[in-house]
Amino acid sequence: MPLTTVKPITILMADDDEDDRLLTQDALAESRVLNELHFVEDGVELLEYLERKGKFEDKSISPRPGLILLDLNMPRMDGREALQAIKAHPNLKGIPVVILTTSKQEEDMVKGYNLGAASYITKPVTFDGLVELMKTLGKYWVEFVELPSTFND
Amino acid sequence: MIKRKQQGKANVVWALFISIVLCIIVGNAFLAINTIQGLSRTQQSLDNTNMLSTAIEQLHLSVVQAESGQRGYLLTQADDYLVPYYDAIAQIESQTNHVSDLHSEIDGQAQRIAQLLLLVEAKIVELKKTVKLALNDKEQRALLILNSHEGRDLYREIRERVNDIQERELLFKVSHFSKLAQIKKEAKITFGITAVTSALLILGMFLLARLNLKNAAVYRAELEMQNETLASKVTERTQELTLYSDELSRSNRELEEFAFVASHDLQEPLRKIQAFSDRLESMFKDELGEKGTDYIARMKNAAQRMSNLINDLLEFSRVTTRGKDFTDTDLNSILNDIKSDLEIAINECNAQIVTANMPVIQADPSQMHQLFLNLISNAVKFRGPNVDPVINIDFERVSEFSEDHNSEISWHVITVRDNGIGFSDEYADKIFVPFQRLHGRSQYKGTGIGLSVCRRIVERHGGSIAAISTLGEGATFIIKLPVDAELFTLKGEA
Repeated sequence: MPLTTVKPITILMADDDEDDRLLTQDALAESRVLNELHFVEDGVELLEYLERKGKFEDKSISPRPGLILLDLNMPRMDGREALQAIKAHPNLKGIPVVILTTSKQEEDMVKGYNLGAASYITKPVTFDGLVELMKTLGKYWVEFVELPSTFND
Repeated sequence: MIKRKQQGKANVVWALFISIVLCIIVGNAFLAINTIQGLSRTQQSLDNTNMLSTAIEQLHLSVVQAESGQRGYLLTQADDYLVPYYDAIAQIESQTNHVSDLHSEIDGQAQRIAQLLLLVEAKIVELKKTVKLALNDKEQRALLILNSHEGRDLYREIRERVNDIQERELLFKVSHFSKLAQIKKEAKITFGITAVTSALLILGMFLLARLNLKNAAVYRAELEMQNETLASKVTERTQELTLYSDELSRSNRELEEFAFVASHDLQEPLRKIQAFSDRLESMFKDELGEKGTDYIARMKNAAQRMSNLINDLLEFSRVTTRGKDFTDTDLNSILNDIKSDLEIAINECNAQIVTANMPVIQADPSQMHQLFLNLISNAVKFRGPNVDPVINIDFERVSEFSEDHNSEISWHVITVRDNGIGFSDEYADKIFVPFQRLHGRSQYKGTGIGLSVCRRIVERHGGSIAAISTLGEGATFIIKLPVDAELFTLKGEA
């Protein structure tokens, strides 16, 4: 795949943990992956963002993400519920969702994949590990993976 | 107890009743025999008297016949009259013999009969005399005698005697007939009584049998009821036990969930500490300087140790909560797995692990793996400074008498011996306490949980573990596991 046609896709991360959001942002910056990173704090906000409701009505602050990084354990509505809702939504189900969680439970993995997650990744323990992950994610999803152009609306 | 007394009393009463009835029957039998004897005696007497009467009558008739013959001949001189005369005379002799042979039961009858016979004899003499005279044509003299009434008187006397005798015999006969009637009546009564008492006895036996059957039925019903009570009690107990065991399972599950969640939630802040420490280290290396970097390194170290501690705690609790059912476990293959798990460490220090032929035992395989992994990695870790570690694992089967079970118990005794640094014997028990260590962090790594996990595992299997050592001369760990694992534990629960 030609590297010159790198289109910066928006990555949307749903995570309730402030520290994890900060670390991910830093790691992304460290990895030099050229992507916009947006955050939402739980499943409710995630759906509001994607449907452009509430405080996310303005398209400019809620661009359609090319990739969603989804934490599982969040208040109000957790990752599992949100995933189910997204994959049921006709317009949204096409967005790849990568589960990024601390849980190592087998049943969470099974449920995640069954609900239609593209990948299941356990959060790295060290910061370097997080940087490495961001680099890899960026490379994979941006350089190798084809995303339909109509996504970037 | 009361029932038995009542039963005893009833038995005595019945015994008494039966013995009384038996006495009556025996008495009746006695009377019956007497009656029959009386009957036959009376019958005999009657026969006798009849015979005698008949014999005397016959004799009388013969005398009459002789007399009428004689008279006839004397009066008519016709020979015809001599025929009955001679007949009678002939008969009289035998008849006389017959009469004298017979015997009367009447008092004085014998004398009378003797007297009669004498008279008859005299009569016959008279008759013979007259006939002889007549035959010799001495009719005149004969007639004389006739007319002298000698014959007639004799005959009269005879007749009187005969009548007397016969009368007496008749009276005797009559009295004996009435006696016969009496005996017959008595016999009827006697047999009637016997019949009645027999019937009563049979009835009594029947009633007793009925009573016994009824009692037996009552006892049987009672036994059945007790059995039912027992069965329902057993069911109740079983239900209670099942509930209790379910409760234990639930409790274990909850503990496990709690332990897991607790450890998970405790790990999360530690990760943050480590992650931000990393950031600090990399982003502000220059500003921190040597001291700052050192502090951060110590912070990270502390966080890591806490993380290890939490993991070890979780592992410790899981010996119980994640214990699995016992199955056939080949210790040889477990030891081989451990040798390959520790391959790097073993090769690094040139360690030698010598294992004897190990048995197949009833145990939780993953826990056995953990047990020996902990022991062997300890042996490798605490090796001597200048010597290649040699670890010997031996096995022996031992039988002992157990007071608790009042029988012989068989044990698998496994020893793990090393030639490492050893420890002072005074710490032989302390080393099994969770998180107890004998050395500082800087000397040897570890949280001090390994041996307490070993002890927990061994105890879950119903066995024991002990350590023997001398400082500087290696250590020996002795594990005892019961051969009959079920004897000591509930299935898989501890």
